[in-house]
Amino acid sequence: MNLIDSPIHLHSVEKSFMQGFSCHKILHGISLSIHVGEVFGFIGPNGAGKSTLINSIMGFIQPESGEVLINGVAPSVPQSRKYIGYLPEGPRFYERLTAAELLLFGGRASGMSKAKVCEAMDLLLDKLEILNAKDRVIGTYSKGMKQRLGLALSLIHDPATLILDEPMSGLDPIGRNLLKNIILDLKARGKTIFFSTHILNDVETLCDRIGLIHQGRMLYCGDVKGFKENGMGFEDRFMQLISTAGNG
Amino acid sequence: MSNGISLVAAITIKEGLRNRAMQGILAIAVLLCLAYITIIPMFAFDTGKVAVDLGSAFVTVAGLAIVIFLGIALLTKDIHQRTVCMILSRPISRTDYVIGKYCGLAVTVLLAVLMIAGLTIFTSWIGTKLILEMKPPRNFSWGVLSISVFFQYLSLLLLMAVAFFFACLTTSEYLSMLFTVGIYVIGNSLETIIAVIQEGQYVKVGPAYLAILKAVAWIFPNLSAFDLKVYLSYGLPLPWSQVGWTAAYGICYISLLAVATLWIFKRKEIT
Ligand SMILES: Nc1ncnc2c1ncn2[C@@H]1O[C@H](COP(=O)(O)OP(=O)(O)O)[C@@H](O)[C@H]1O
Ligand SMILES: [Mg+2]
Repeated sequence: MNLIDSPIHLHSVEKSFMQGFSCHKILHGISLSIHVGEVFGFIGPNGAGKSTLINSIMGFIQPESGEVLINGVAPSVPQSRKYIGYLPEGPRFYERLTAAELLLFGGRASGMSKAKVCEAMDLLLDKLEILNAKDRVIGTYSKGMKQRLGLALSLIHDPATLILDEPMSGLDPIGRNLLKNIILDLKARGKTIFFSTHILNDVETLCDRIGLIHQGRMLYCGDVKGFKENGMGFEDRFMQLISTAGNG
Repeated sequence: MSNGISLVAAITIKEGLRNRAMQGILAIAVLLCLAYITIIPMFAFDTGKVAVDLGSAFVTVAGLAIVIFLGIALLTKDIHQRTVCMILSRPISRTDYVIGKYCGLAVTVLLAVLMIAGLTIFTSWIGTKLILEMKPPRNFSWGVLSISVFFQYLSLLLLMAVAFFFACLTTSEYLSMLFTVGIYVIGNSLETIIAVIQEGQYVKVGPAYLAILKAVAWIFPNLSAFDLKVYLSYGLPLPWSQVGWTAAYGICYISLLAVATLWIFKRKEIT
């Protein structure tokens, strides 16, 4: 496949962390190519290495070996992130800025004009139902509101590719439903969405393809239909794959 | 200046000026100025010198507090709480982030220094009207005053570069504070210590020890060189070439620290 067709491309990525005095391998040769316009769900239990992989994609950490390309460019090049929207896990912001100031920063940093950001901002905050808190300092936000603001920040410049780390966490059922609709809407507009989650609800209905990671190894990567072998439920299959890998 | 640098600087200034620490420092400065009017009359003579010493102490203490509490806290928080992700997930390089952050804090410190210096000058002016024995220092000159405040600011900028270096190196808030305060104390006293030793009147040490001390003095920033308040309080003429060299020294030192800090920060893992 042509690299330009793949907004996110990883080839045998390996990453270790020092934990105390010993070195632990967290990612074991992960290879992955995301297609344009698909919704890719990256699932796995806590501590599987999902955030670590996303951090390598964003250039926050440097893998020891392997290749990471965003739209054909290495993450060490800042411009690789021009068309990327990123939501960190449990996002934190400068607490004394208002949502409007934060979004203005985000939009301008991604090359938008001030007028364009202000126009996009109200629509987005309204869609995420936090428009009334637009001029409040972020320090006064609840966890769920911060999560929604994080989403707004990742979407402000209408990026072609979205990388969302645990987007469902911290959201109430209404918020989850909202997010689901936003993802479907983005997909309809041809955006590529890569998100990680340990919550399996909705993954089945939202995603075109999924990747299952456990202890830093890809156990499955492919479409949802192929995942549910011989009539097994989604969650049962997830448990089965993980327990067999754990035993083996 | 690149777009990224100015955007990062802008949010840093906003975040900095709204910080409790900043407001607390300014509140304390107002209280100190009130105290200052009551202290001055206790000195029957040399009120001008006392005013200069106290005023410059205010600027130093407040500037130091901002560098330590704001500079280090904001930077280490950025790395630990991953707030830096909201910046680095944009097409902004790490270099632009560090420089933008430094510039933003430099402006914040400048505003604080100007406010406190203004407050002190205003208090002194009121003092000369209210208290009969209070007089401005001999040969008082606004030019020397401005240059002296500017050099105090420059030494704070140097200290902030030190703070940035340690914050990136250790990513621990308390360690960075400890090291920065340590550098501040050493940087202010090492020259005096060497001078005392060389005089040989009070302390006697071997020449090897003195040589080591002198070598060490090259590594630590000589912060006492930036202290020009004697020229202001005694109305002495400024030694221009020395002042020029000090400024160049400060700028070189900051640049070298910046290179080291950027080298470290570019390799930093943000997890
Ligand atoms: N900075 C770090 N230092 C040491 N170990 C880390 C670090 N970051 C993550 N890890 C380890 O890497 C593993 C994967 O973590 P992570 O990618 O956050 O998992 P998750 O799939 O829940 O997002 C965990 O075992 C975690 O302990
Ligand atoms: Mg995670």
